Amino acid sequence: MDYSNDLLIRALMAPSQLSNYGSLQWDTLIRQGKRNGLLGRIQVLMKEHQSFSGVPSRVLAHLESARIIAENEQRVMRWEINRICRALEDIEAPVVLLKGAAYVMLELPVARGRFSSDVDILVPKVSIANVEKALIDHGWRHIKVDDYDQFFYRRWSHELPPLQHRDRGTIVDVHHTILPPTGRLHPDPEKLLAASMPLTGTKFSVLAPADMVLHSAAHAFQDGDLTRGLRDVVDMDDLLSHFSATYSSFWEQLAYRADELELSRPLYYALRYSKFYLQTPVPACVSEHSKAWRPAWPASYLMDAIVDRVITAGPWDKDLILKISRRLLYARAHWLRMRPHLLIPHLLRKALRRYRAEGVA
Amino acid sequence: MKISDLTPARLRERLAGDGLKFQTGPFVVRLQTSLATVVEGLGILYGEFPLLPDEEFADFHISLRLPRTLRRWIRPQVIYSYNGESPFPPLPCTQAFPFFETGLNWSIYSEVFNYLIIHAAAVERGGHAAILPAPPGSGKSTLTAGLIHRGWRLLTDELTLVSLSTKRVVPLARPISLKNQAIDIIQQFAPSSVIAAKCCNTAKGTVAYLRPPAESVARMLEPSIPRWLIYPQFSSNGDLSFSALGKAATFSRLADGLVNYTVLGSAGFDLLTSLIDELDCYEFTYSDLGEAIAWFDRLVECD
Amino acid sequence: MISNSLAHSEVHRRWRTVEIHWKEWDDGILVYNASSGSTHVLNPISAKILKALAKYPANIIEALERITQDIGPSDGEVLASIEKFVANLEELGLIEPSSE
Repeated sequence: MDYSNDLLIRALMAPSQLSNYGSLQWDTLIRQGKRNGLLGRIQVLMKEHQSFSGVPSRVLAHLESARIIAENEQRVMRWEINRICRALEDIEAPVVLLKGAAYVMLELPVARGRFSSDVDILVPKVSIANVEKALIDHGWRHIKVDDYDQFFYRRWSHELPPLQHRDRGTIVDVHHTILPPTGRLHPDPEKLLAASMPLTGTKFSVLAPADMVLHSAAHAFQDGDLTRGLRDVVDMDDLLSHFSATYSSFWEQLAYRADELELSRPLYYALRYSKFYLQTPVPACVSEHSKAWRPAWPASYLMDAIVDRVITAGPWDKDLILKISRRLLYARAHWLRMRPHLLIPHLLRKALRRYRAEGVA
Repeated sequence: MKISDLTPARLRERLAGDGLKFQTGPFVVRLQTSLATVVEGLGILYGEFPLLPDEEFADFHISLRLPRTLRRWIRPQVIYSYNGESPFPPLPCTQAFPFFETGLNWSIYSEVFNYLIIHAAAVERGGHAAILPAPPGSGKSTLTAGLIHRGWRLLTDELTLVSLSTKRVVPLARPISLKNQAIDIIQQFAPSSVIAAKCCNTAKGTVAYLRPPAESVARMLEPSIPRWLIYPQFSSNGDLSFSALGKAATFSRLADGLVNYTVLGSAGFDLLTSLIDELDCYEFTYSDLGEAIAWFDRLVECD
Repeated sequence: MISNSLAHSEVHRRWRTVEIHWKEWDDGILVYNASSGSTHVLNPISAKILKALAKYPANIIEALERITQDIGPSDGEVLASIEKFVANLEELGLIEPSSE
C-alpha cells in the first residue's frame, strides 16, 4: 500500500482525475488530506474541475465537512480582523496584515480551502507598546504568562507573546519584524513597511507581492521546521503562480527584493521545492539565477534529502530516516533563530521546565 | 455479513492484522487492536453490526495498542490512535474498551460537520424521534436503556446527528454506556439484556456497556423525524413531573449541548431554529423508570 | 425628555445593521450575526432598536422616534438606557457606524 504523500501530490496536480479514484485510493487520500491540512484545498479543486461525479457518497461527506470547516475558518478570520480594526482604531501607525489574514482579505487563490484563523500583524517597533495596550483594553490576554516566556519573546523574538481573546479564544500575533532579530538574516522591517500597500476600505495594509512571497519563504524555510511542509509548498506555488500571472515584472522584482531583504537563501529553497513538487512555472532564467543563492555542498544535498523525506512522507510513516530528518529540521530552525550563546541557555531552560512539570505530575 | 459471523479466533486474527471494517449508521469504522478486552467487547456488543470488505472506504481509522515504552509491561497502558495520531494521553489497559467508545465519539465530533451534532440520546417510536439532551448525572442513559426494552428503537446514546438537508435524526445504534448504579438498575429492569465490558475505577466510576437490540442495529440506516425534545432528570424521591419549555428557552439551554453548531454558520442557525419550531419541548423529572416510560408512551399516543 | 447623556456628539453618529438572521418566538428573540458567527438572545428593547436600524441607517434620536411608537410615551429610564443598548449592540458587532 502506498502511504506516501505521492497520492496527495498527484491529486493536487490533477484534480480532474479524482472522479476516477477507487475506494481504497480515497481511503488513503482523505486521511492524507486531513493530516496535511489540505483536504479543504482538494474540495475546492474538485469543485473548480467539476470532478464530484462518481465519487462515493461517504467520501463526498468528508469533502463537504472540509468545505464547511474552511468556510468557518475564513469567517472567524474576517471577524477577527474586524475586531482588531476596531481595537486599533486610534493607533496611527501602519498595521500590516501578514500571511493568511492578507490572503483572505485580498481573496487570493492561496486562500482557497485554507484552514487557518490565527491573525498575524506587523507594526513598527516603536508602536508595539501602544498596539499591545489597545488589544488588551479590548479583551485580548497573554497566554504565556511565565516570566521567562515573556522575557524571551520581548528580548529576543520578532513578535510579542501570542495574545488570545478572552471570549472568542482566537489568537493574534503582533510582529515588529518577520524573522527573529537573534537570527542570521535581518530583513529590514522599515523596507517592508515602506513598500506595503493599503487595503482599501480598512485601516490595514498588506505587503507588496514580492515581499509577501519572501515572507512565506522565510516563514517556511528559515523560521520553520516544515511540520506542514507540503502545505507550505502549496502556498508558495499559489503565490508565485498568481503574482507572476498578474504582474509582468514580478520575477525581476522578486529577485531584487530577495537581495535587498537578505532573503535569497529561503527564496532559493522555496523556488526549488515549489518547482520540483508542484511544477510551478518558474522561468528558467530565474532558476539559473537562484543557484547563486544555493548553500555549499554538502548542505544543499542534505537539505534536499531531508526536505524530500519530510514532504513526501505519508502521515503514518515512522521510519528512522524520517525521524532523523524531522529532528534535523527542528534543530536547524532553532539554530537559525538563535546564536549558540543564546540557544543553549534557552534550550536548557525549556528542558528544566518540562522536567519540573513532569515531576509535579 | 456480521461481526458475529466470525469465530472468536478469526475475529482476534483480523483485528490484530489489517483490522476490521464495520458499519455504524452513516459511518464505516476500521479498527485495529490486539487487546483482548477490546476484541471481546467488540464480539459481544457489536455482534450484529455489518462487516464490510477491506476494499471499502473507511471514515475512521482507529487503533488501540500498547505503548512502545516500559508501560507496555509495567502497569500497562493503552494508546488510542486515530488517523495516525494519538490525541489523548494513555489510559490504564483495563479501560481499553471504554477508551474505544469515548475515542470514537471524539473522532466523530471532531471530523463530522455535514450534520448538526447534539450531545444527546435519541429514541424512536411510531415513526418519530425523541431527543434527550442531558448533562452527566441526569440519568439519560438509564432512561434510554429502559425505553429501548419497552418498544422504543435505539437511535443513539451519546451523539445525535441531525441531517442539515432533511432535518432527520440519523442513527448510530451503538452500545449504551451505563455507569455505577445504572448498571444494576437496568440488569433488574431488563434481565434479558446483555451488559458487558465492565470497568471499574474509570474517571466516571464503574462503566459498562449495554448491547443494542438487534432490531435497532438492523434498522441503523433508517433516519427518523424528530418530534420531541426532552430534558430528563432522575430524582430519587418525588413524583413524576414535567413542564413545557418555551422555544427560545430551549435554544438557550441546548446551546451547551451543541457540539459543532458554531462551525456550521448560518446553515446551523437556520436548521436549529426550524428544528425547534417543529419540536415539543419539555423538562421532565422522574424517580421510577416504569412510570417514566409510560409517560413517553403517552406522548406517542397523543401525537 | 432626552437625558443629558444623549447631548454628547456621539448622538449624531449613524448606525446600520450587519447581515442578521432573525427568529422570533413568544418567549424570546434570537439573532444570528453572519459576520461574527455568534447567536444572541435579545431583550425586547434591543430587538426593537435593531429592527429600527435594519430598515435604514439612523442615529440614536431617529431610532428612538421609530421605536417610541411601539413602546408608547417616552419613559425616562428607557430613554437613558437607549444609548447603553446601542453601545451594547455595537460591541456585539450587530451594528456598525454608517456613513449614509
